[in-house]
Amino acid sequence: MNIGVIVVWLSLIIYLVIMVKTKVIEKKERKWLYLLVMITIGFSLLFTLTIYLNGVTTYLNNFFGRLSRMVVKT
Amino acid sequence: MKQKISNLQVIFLVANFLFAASVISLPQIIVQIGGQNSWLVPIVMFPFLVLLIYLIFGKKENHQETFLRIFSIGTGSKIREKILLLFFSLFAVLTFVHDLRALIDFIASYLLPNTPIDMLMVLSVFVILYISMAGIEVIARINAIHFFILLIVLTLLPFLLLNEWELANLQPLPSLKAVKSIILSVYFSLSWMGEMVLFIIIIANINPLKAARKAVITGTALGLFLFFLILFLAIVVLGTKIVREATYPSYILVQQINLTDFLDRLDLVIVAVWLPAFFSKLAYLLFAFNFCLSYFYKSNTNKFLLPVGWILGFLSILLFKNNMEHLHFSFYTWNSLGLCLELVIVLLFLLVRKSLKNKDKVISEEKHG
Repeated sequence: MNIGVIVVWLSLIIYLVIMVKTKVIEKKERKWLYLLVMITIGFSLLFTLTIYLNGVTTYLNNFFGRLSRMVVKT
Repeated sequence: MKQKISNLQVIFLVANFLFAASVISLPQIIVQIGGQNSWLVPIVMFPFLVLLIYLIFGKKENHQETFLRIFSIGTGSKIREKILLLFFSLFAVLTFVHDLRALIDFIASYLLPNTPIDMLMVLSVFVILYISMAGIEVIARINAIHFFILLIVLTLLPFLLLNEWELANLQPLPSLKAVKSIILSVYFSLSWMGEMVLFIIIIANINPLKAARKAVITGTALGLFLFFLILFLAIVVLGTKIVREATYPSYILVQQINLTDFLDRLDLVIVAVWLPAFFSKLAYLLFAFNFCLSYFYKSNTNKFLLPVGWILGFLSILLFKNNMEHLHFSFYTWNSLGLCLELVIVLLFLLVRKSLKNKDKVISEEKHG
């Protein structure tokens, strides 16, 4: 596993412990907390498994990039 | 209590929005299109940006009360404001992601080639989080200190590079034939320079608000002047051929400083001055994104800043498979995408401002009549 991912996970564990123990997070805010932590873990796993999300970038490059290239060609 | 920032801090913030990220590799695409006349681009661009600022602030000064009410959590919360914040957060995220990736790639290429990219992201996000958690006042203060030092160093740059100037690199001089290529270069850099619209989110924090328009115009002029300086020197010192083909022409430019035998690594000093200014911009972007999120869960908090910072950090790596993909995005995609987002943000902002003003008018008419 990458060193960066380990650091991120450790920081998340410390963050979660502090947030829950000190009761800084209210009950209604907990769903946001867990959602954001889950997304972070998901992204770190994607990074570990070298699964890139560059499909989004490729789509944007095709759509907006083509527009820019058309401007240059004029 | 609402955090306040002075007009001088606004000047440095706006100048930083314009300069810090665009200096990395934007000169390459500008020179590729505009050739040796590209140094005219910042000068041509200035009136466009001033027009945009006048559009945002309006001619009359009676918008001040309206500005103070825009984006204050709990008041209004209309669908229009939510859409504006949605677009603004998208703009902030995309700017943060591609700026952070540009920084990481630059450090990985020149400064720390053996450090893993994820570790560079983690360290950068830690610094950004630390600044961002303190709020807009601290971000503005840190930015003002570092940008002022950067300003001094960059103003000295023409003298430090004086022995490397090749004025022949500017030839042939601009003619009417060059107009088209310069306009194209302006189009390609407008979205980068238009990032100064980021100040919209802190418009209510500016104290005094009366002189805010002047401060934003001064900041824009300062940022463009610094960019002009780098672009002009890059063309004069390196020539268009090198600038066109180098990935980081500005860094190669500062590497040319060679005063004496023992003072030949001033490039590292300049990078060390530029990096904190860049971190301030990234911290501001994270702050702005968190501000937009706070609006949605109706409490002004930075409790969730840590996971949000990590998510954006990972996105900066996952969205671009390699440096080339990022450069392609920056050169060809961001200019159209960024420009579209900036236009939508400005138009929605004007719409929100107008609706708030009309609402105020109706209330005051009801009171008096």
